[in-house]
Amino acid sequence: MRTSTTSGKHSPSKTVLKTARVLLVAVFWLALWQGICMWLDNALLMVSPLAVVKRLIELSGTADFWTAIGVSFGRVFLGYLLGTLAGVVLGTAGGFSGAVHTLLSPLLAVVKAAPVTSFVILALVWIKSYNLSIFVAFLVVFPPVYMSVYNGIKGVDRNLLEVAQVYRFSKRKTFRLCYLPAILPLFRTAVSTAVGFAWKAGIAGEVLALPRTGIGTMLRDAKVYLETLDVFCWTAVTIFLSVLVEKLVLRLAKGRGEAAKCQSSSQN
Amino acid sequence: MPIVVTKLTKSFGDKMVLENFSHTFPDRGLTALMGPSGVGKTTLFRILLGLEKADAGSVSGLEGKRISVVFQEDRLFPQLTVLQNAEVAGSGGACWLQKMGLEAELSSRPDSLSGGMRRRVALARALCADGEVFLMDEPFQGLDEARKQEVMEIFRELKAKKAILLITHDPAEAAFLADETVTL
Repeated sequence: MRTSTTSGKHSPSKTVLKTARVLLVAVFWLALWQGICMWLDNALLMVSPLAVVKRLIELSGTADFWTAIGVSFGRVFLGYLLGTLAGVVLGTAGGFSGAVHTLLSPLLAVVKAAPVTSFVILALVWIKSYNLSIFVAFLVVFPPVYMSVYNGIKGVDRNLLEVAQVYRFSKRKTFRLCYLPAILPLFRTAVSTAVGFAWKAGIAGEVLALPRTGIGTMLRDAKVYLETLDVFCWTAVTIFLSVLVEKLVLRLAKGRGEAAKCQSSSQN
Repeated sequence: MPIVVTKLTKSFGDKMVLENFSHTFPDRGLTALMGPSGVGKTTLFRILLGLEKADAGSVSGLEGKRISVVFQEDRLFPQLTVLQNAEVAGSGGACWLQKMGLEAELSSRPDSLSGGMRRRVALARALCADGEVFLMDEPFQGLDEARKQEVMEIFRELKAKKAILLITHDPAEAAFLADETVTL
């Protein structure tokens, strides 16, 4: 006999409880922020959450605000895309060729270990400030994506590869049925965490490189002119966009993963 | 064309697994390979499948032949359905799965099946592949007696047209199916 149960994932009472919990946590931290602000009573050191909201509304009415967001987003996204692409291509090459992996290993080790600021300062000598955050985003995205693809290939189920070999699967079919399911879970995690890295590193790159416009430039200007309120506003914008993009990529990666799973089933 | 194995030798490190093994397997009929664990039965299969290289000796009669295999493990693709797994190397999955009593599970995934059911999917996959040679390593383990009898009946019919090599520890299986028993 089959029994059916209602999934608690989207039950109304659980959703209400979850929302209430999130709201309570938000209220707690906002109250703490407000409390510290009132205790310091110095707008140079700390501004109130309400003041930040007001200023954000004010800023969002200006073209500069949206231009800075759009330009920063474009740069970081381009760097992220290039880093992912390079990670997939070279990770695949490294996974199948020990020589390629050995060749790339020192580069990966350096990129992973060195602070972003070192690269930014060095890259400023070679690259125009406008393109620097593209480069920085690329640098932080490439290693995790490369490693996810490489580890996926190395972790493939050898027993299934033998099935593919005995039944003389084509290379494409072997990749689709054996390698892809091994790579995808790691790849999904890598691309969704890397987007946060890319965003933060890209903005940090802008702060140091000072291109004509961008969130990083706005942050730096606000700091130089002691506009603490604006520093808070741009930080809030960065955090909000980082969370938003991370969630979006996670959803996209999940969707693509499911699609790939269906595709691998249907094309069998 | 029979499968001729001549003086096959294989060792792993210091451990000699196969030593000068020679045998001619006919191109029709079922040969049971028996012997205690570690005597080299699975290694012989792996060499015949091209998955392992022999240290010495030769194998002939398999060139260009399609081989169906049932490994000791089920080795099913977890992302594929039962039907897709059966048809991964051939066609006629629905028919063979029905004969295996799995007609209600065609769209299930392997992880939702019992051990015996997964074994039957692996057997159906080998039947779909329709090899001229069948290499089966303890293929009936995990099947209940009634089901095992039904499945063995399929291979008893099939052996008239195929060369089947069966590794088994069960003398009753060998007695029921084999035309010849080789003890390693």
